[in-house]
Amino acid sequence: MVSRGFARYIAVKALNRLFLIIIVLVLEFIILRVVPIVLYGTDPALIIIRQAEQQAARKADITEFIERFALDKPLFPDQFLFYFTKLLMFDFGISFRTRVPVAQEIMDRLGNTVILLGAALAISIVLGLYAGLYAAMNKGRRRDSFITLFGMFTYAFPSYVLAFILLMGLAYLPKVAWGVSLFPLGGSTKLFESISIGGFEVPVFNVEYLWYLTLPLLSLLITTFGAWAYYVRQLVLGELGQDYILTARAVGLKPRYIMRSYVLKNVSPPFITTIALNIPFILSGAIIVETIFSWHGLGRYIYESVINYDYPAIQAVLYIIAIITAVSLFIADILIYYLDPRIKLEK
Amino acid sequence: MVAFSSSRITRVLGLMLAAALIIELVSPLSSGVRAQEAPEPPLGPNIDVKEVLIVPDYSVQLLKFEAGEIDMVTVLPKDVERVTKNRPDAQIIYLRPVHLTLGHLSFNVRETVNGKWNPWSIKELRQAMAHLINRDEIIALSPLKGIAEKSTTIVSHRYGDWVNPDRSKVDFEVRYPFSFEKANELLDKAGFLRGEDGWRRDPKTGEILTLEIAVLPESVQPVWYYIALKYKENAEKVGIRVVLKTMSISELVAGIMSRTLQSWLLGYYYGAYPTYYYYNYHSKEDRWVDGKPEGINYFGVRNATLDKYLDEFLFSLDIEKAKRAFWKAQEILTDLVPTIPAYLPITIVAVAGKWKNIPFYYAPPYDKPVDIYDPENPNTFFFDMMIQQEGSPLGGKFVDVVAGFSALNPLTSILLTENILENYVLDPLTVSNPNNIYDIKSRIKLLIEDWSVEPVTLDDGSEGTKLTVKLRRDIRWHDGVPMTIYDLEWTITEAGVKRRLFWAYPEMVRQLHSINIIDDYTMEIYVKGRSWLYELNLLTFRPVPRHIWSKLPDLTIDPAREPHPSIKGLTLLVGNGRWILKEYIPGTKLVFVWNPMYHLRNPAKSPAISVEGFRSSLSEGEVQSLRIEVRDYLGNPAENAKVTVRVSGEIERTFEARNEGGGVFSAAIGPLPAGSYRVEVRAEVPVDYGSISSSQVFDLSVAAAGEAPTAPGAAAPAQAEEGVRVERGPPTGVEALEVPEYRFEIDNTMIYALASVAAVLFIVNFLLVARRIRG
Repeated sequence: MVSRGFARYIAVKALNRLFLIIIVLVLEFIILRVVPIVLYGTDPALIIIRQAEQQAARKADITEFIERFALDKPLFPDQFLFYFTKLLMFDFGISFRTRVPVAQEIMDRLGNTVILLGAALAISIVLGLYAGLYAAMNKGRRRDSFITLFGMFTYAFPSYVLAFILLMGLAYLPKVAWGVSLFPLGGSTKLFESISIGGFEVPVFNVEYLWYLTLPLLSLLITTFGAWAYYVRQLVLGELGQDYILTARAVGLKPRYIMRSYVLKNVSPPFITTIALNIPFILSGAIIVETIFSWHGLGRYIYESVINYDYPAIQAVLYIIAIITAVSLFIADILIYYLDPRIKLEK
Repeated sequence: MVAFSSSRITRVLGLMLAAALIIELVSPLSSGVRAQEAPEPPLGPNIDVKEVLIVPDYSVQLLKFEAGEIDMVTVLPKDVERVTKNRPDAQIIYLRPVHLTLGHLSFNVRETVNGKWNPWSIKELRQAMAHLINRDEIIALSPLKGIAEKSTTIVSHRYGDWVNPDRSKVDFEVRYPFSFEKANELLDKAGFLRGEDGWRRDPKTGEILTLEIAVLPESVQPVWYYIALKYKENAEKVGIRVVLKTMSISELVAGIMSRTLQSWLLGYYYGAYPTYYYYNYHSKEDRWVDGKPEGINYFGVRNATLDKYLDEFLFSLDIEKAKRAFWKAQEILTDLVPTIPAYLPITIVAVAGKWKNIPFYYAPPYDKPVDIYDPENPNTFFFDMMIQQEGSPLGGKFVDVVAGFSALNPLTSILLTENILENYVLDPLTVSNPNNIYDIKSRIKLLIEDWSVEPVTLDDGSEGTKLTVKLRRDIRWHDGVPMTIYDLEWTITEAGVKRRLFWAYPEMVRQLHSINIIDDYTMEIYVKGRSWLYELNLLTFRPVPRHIWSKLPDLTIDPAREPHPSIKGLTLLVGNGRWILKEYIPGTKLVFVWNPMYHLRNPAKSPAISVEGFRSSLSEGEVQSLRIEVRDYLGNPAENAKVTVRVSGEIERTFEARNEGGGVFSAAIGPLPAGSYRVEVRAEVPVDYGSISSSQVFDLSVAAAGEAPTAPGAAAPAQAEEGVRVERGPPTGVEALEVPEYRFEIDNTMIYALASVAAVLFIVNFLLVARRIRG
């Protein structure tokens, strides 16, 4: 049965996260819609729409777009309310730039982005956790220095340079020098393939997908793993310096027991919170890596939408990211409730 | 209408940025094909598959080209040397886009700007500025490094005979040669005299004569910034103070549209035909509604004579008269100087050496191959139809590359790439004549047999135009449904008039009065007013299949992602063109295969039949055995062919041939009663989305029992292709492409500088992180 304290804790956190989404929505409207008008004296969205129409000697659906997005109405409250209610109902509208429903554009790319960045995040967290713990347990030794320096180096290494090195070294050169397609020169393929079994089309996992995934994933792993390793090392070292650890050692507890029962438990709340804060980035895509590896993901779409003032697209993506952030933080709150006894005591 | 397209501008900026890196240009000769006068449409495509990879990054596109994964790529000037080194077989082709003119210094010619007196509304001041640009110097010394062409007329000279041939009246280098003296004279004459400090003063306000030029930052557009600096440097020598205001492209466009800028330096996109000039300079396009600017005459030009010529230019059925009026308009514009042209870009394309028969397009009297970026892009049609692999004239896969697109909806798409890809599957009514892309009357008919245009009086007594169009009767959509005039009518009325969807709504549709359908293939279109543009609109119109689109609840869907309701393997992007969309993996690639039902298909793409053992005379009751060998058009044994032998004469019988394997079939004919027969040996080979077939016909004589058979060899076998029978001469002649004369020294300074900056940034970043860790 859910305790009263827990219910209250959850309710407060839920309201908190809901408030976060509303704040994000308001800020988003101000930054995207109000600031450009203040800066440029006109609505950039109208410029973009007009450009497209003029390019084709066509002005017909300017009016339609203006009406559809209430662009001819005052910013407050009309345009704001219109924007706010549409987003709340997950009605993302049609892209100014491409005339394609934003939801379709997002869904089209979502799978690839979530797989690439989700896998990169998950693997780099696991590797980073182990490497960080190992480094912390061997503080001051060469292996600690190696992991720390390696982590620093990869973290500081520009991702586009690494992406090109991987592409040149593992895809281009083997192909040109030996005629071997070790890895593809970018691209992606279908996640599922249809095969016909007894007259029925059955989707099966397309193994080739992994072949395309390898290089962009490797590129992201190398550049993100170091940061996680370093972060975990610092967290653990900070904990190991606490008095209670000294006491535990003094009473003769084994280092592994101390690590498992005390240190890991105590470092998990900030670690989980950091993971929760990183989960939304799975959706935001990795513009450079996706572009270089021709990976059909959300990163480039967001970038192009931003530079073209494609409000419906930017609004939709930011809104989804805000929701995912709120939800993952909420889940983290629940996990931390169980992991950190201090929270229960506070209640 | 001018379009400050951000995507186009970004592309151009990219080109110019790249041009900042110094190159050595080594261009191998590339052979090309120049079409003869008003050629018949070529038959094709010769290749079987066209694959289009979606690769957003330019560097990766180059890597793919060098690795042999793609067959064609657009190359920036800095990379030409690299491409020719890594792909020595590559054909480097230089094309001149007709639609782009860059580096213009343009003026707001209104008397007041932002509520203040604007001295640049005085014509002589703008003319003085026109004397202060040295185009040769700009092209040679700016980051262009010679890869550009001088633009000396307001209407780019690549527009063929739309450009006034009297250069003395329209050429800026003739009317306004680079000269400080002439600039000083004009300024003095206008009363803007130098003060003691050397600056010229406005006689009306007494203030220093100042010109504010809005320009993109040097980091974004080094060439245009260089031009702006040159204007500043030269203007200050004649006493004009110039203030450069750098701003983002959005700010710049916003400023121009809101009419708040005094002058700006930008490039213009004018489309395949120079119709945008009408909208740019006509007074009616300089409007203010409720205090807000409307219309796209951004310059604020108001001239009644100019308006008259512009009206004659656009609203005349006589295209020669329209051209002459446009020439007059150009003379006035050259005198008014609302904008000062600078240069025209050159597009460089690398094509893998194995591809031959590459067509080029011309806009006489301009004598170099041009490039049209336009919805109706003839490059795509002729290129696809004509190219062949060296050594194997038929078959093969051509792999192209695009940076990306959103959807392939032929009714709503606005991006150039999307339109080009849609044209793979959908033919317009006609395409441009490659010999003269501006000769409307000699446009090449794809879907139509004929068309006519005549002036009429409409039922309300007003002037109108009647366009009559007669479709070909042998055109089928990819799903086999015949194309009729109702498809065209639906596209015009439903997609155009009612829903105002993008390409279905040109001027002709906007001014549509009524439509009269004569029969399933003929239609009369009545349009309000008179303009040569209506004819062009009609001829470039691209009908969509009514039987598909009329059933869709939402016309904005992406048909390339939706399966065809009844035919497996087809999408809803059903067309009538040379290619059928076979596979689409969003963000990754498109695969098109040749359309075996295409009405312009190459008859050589048919199986070859070889019959052995045929005797032309038999006795009654005798059976003869035939050995039939079938090969596909690539010369490979057609193991999956279906062979039948049909005998017609006294009796009619069909004999199925037995597949012996390896493309060999056997059939036994007989016994047959006495008489004369016609024997048709027919082979049908399945291909994607249909089949191709050939037949051989023989005469056979069967003698009655006891009579001597007639002498053998009485009838010679005659081979005939089934399906579309097309008898045409060779569509093109061969001509070598000229190679530009540009050649430059390699200078790696910029590369080293960039590499050094990157290295320093990396080290600093590394040290900062290390310091934080240590701390």
